[in-house]
This record gives sequence, C-alpha cells and structure tokens, in this order.
Amino acid sequence: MSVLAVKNLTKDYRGHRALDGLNLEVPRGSVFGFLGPNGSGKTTTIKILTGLLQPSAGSATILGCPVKLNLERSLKRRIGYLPEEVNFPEALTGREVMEFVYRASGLPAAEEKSRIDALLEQFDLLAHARRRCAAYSRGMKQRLGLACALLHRPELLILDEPASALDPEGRCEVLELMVSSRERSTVFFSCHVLADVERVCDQVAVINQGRLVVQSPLKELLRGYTFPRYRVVFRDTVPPELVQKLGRQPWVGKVRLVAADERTMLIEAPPERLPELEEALLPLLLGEGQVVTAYYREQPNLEEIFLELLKNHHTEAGGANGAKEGTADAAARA
Amino acid sequence: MLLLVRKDLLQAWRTFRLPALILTGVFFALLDPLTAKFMPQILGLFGDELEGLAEMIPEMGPAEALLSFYGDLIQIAALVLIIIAMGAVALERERGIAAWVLTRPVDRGAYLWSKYLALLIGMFIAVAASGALAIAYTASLFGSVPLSGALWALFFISLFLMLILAVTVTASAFCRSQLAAGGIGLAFLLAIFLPELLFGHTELVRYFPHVLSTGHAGHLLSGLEDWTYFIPAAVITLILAQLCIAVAAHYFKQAEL
Repeated sequence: MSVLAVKNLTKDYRGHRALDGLNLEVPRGSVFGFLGPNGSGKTTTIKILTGLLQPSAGSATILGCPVKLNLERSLKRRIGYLPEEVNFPEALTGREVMEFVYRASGLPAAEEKSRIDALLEQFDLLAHARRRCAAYSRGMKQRLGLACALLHRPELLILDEPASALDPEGRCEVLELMVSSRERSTVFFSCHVLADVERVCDQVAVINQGRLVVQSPLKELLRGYTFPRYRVVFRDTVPPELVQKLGRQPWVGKVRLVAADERTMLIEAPPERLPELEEALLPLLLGEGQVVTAYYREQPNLEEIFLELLKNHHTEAGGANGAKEGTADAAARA
Repeated sequence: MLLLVRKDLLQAWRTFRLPALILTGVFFALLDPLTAKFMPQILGLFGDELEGLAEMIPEMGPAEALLSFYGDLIQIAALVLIIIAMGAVALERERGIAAWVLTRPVDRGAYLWSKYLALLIGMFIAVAASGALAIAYTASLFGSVPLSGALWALFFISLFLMLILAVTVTASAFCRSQLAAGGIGLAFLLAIFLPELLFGHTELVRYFPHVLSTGHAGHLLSGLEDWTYFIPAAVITLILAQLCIAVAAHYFKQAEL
C-alpha cells in the first residue's frame, strides 16, 4: 500500500510549468529518494505535498488523506517535514522551538523534557539548546529542523535536501537515522548527492522538467542499467598502439583511458557482443605483453544512470517538441 | 492559539519590539506633563525674543497635559505600532518562517489571530503602563487630574490604536512586502481622519472611529462630553478591527506560501 500517491500533478507559475503531470507512488516503509536536476520541480512537489502550494491540476494523497492547500492539523501530526532552507522564529532558543513543536503536536506533557533532551542530544545540540536560533549555523539549523521533524514520531517523513548543509560526519548520521527510521516511518526525501541516495534508498524516482523520468526500486534500476563495460588496470602506461588495436576489434564498441591515469582503461562492448569481448579481451592484452593487475566488469553507479536517464529524457523531450513543432508547422502550412 | 500567542509575545519582547512600544509611551508620559507644567519657564529661557509668544500661550492645566500625551500616543505610538506590525506576517512569509510554522500542526487562522492578539496585548500593556504613568505624573505635578475622563479617553484611544493595528496586520497578511503593509497602515492612519472633514459638523461623526482619538477625547477631559457619546464609534471600531482580521484570516487560509 502506498503512503504517498501523486496523480497527474501539475503546477503552473505565471506561464511557466513547474510540474507537468507528475505521477508517483511511495510504498509504506520505504526510504524513497526523489531525484532531479535543479529546477526540475522537486521542491514544488514537496511544497504541494505539505500544503504550502496549490496544484494547478492533478491530485495527491498522503496516508490516505487528500492533499490540499493548508493541510488538516490531524494530517500534519502524522507528517514530519524538513524544508530545504530551515528558518525558525529566530528569537526563540533551540529548546523553545522544540517545545513549541512538541506542544503544537499535542504530545503528552509528562514526556516532553525527556523526548526533547533525547533528540537534542542525538543531534548534538544539547549544549546549544539555550542559544537563540539566530546564532545557529546552517548545519545546526538543519539538525534542529530534523529533530523537530522527528519529534512526534511521524508516519511519513518528508525531507527536502536533508543533508545539504551538514559536514560529512553529520551527513552519515542523518543517513543512518533515515535507515533506522524505516521501521516506524516512511522516508521521502530529495537529494542532490546521489551516493547518499544509493546508500540508503530502496526506491527512487527521477524527475526532469516537472515530469517523471523513472520510478523504480533502486536494485532494479541498477540492474537494468548494467553497462557491458570492463575496467582493466595495467602495471605500466598503456601504449597508444594498444588502444588503437583494441578500437579495431569488432567486439569493442568504445575504448578510453581514464583521465590522469594512463594505466587504467575502460572497454565497452556493444551489448550483443559482450560474450565475445569476455572471451577475447584478456588473451589479447596478455598476448601484447601487458601486465594486467586488475580486470573486472564495471557496474554503473546511480550518478551515471541518473545522467544517462536525463540525457535520454532530454533527447525524447527534444524529439517530442520537434514532432510538436513539425505538426504545428504542417498545420500552419495547411 | 495560546501557544502561538505566547510564542509571539516572547518574540516581540526579545526582538525589542514590545519594549520599544512601551518605552515610546513612557517617554511621552514623562515628557508631556513636564512640558505642560514648565512651558512658560521653558519659553522664558529664550529671553526677549519669545516674550510675546509666551504671553500668547495660555497656561496649561492637567487636562491639557494629558491631552498632549494622548496626542503623542495617537501620532508617535501609532507610527511605532505600524512599524512593529507591518512585518508580523509579511516578514515571516518572506523569511520562510511562516512556512515552517504552518507545516507544524498549527491552524492558519490561529496563526494570524495570534499575531494580532500578541500585538494587541503588547499595545494594551504599553498604553496602560504609559497612561497610568502619565496620569500619576500629571497628578503629582498639577495636584489633581480629571481621572474618570482621563481613563475613558485612554480606553477609547486604545480602541483607536487597535483598529490601526488590525488594518496593518491585515495588510501584512495580504502583502508579500512588509513595506507595502506599513504603507497601507500609514495611509489608513491618515485617511481615518477624513470623515472629520466631511461630517465634522454633523451628528453622523459619532459613528466614525476617529472620534476616539484626541480631538474628541479632549472633550472627555474637559467634561464637555460624556463617555456614552463615544459608544457608537467604539462599537464600530471594535467590529471593524475584528472584521479586518477575520477577512485576513480567511484570505490567509487560501494563500500559497
């Protein structure tokens, strides 16, 4: 069952279409990575889901409740939200901000102090709890924002770039926290650091120009995009003649030396000729008198897949636009 | 709602907005009675040049001293109030604080009403504190004050300021810029006196909020008018102020943040 479902969501801003018929399904208990380049519509989607923006068309449901501008309080109690830029009432201290959220959430007064202290400690903010938020660094604000989002143990966590202002250690902690939250909450988060997404997500969706490019379990996506590519590391610098010779082989699609390291070579086969490459490559290299120190089939990472998906999407969108223009031209001529 | 009001009052105190309002009132509560009492001596310090002028200014009593203080409340305190209130919603929207607060389990209507109520409480505290100080100080300087008239005038001036506050908070909810909200508040403060020009000589004037300000409040101090004269204007002012906030809350519930 999906915790969050988006159907044909569209949002127009003064003639600009920020979202264009977006569809999403977020399964319960998943850590869902919501990816896309800058300006692709991630934050707009999240703002619609949190009731800050009104969609121009389409619909969305969260935990079975319809999403609308200005969400019901009962629904807000079930969601934890961290915006991309966290801004608290700056005259309040970190502890006061958490007390405010705790009381607004209608949680039992008896557990207030212990719960707040536990989260402040978890996010390394206990020593700064009596300082005003105005004096907090961006990273501290982000940690306080996360603590507030988790305070009421929500069923769904919506996090917009949750680790963007954190140092590497803080980022690791947040990622671990997201994984550990999975038992209790579904996590829906947008992120630019694809290595982070690859580390913690079990589901991903990629959007571009307000449209869904792909939504898939991460494992399936990685499997589906296996490149027929081998990485070979030589003991010595690779002679240019060897590169040329490999390039002439019918089972080699592309050969390139990795930049700044002329001892590492990437050899790609056309997908249907991969078995031939696997049979002939190593004997050829050894026959040329090369000492091979490493030889393995390379798996693409999420970043490569992401770039590939976007490239394909741009091509398709360009083609579709071209077709539309062609139709328009034909109509104009007629 | 109480939680939000408490938060907003705490913020108003810590950001020096509430103390600024109180200090403005206190400043004039101390200055005006003193100036009224010692005006002849002050003018005398300028020597022969202002000798004629000193004779032209009538001797001021406790009613004039308080009237002068009320005049400053209407003008200067109202301006400070507009400056404080203009960013109540607009600035929080601009900085993303409103979006953060309103994605917590908080009702948008309650958010807006709390902004207004916190400022209203602050305004009443400032008016009550400075008013009490002005009355006490005037009594100590002049020996006596028309207490009943002074208190009624203070009450009606509070209602007048409440309307200015409500209009500015409403403008702050509608506008994305706090300066625009402040401009609307200021324009309203000027426009509110227009009915005096149009209906000043008729009975109809009793129904306009501006009669709660100094011009007419002076009649309370001098005993020319009874407090009952101001009831229609007070009721209309109360209704208008609440109506403004209700409209703003209705709009704000449907606004994109």
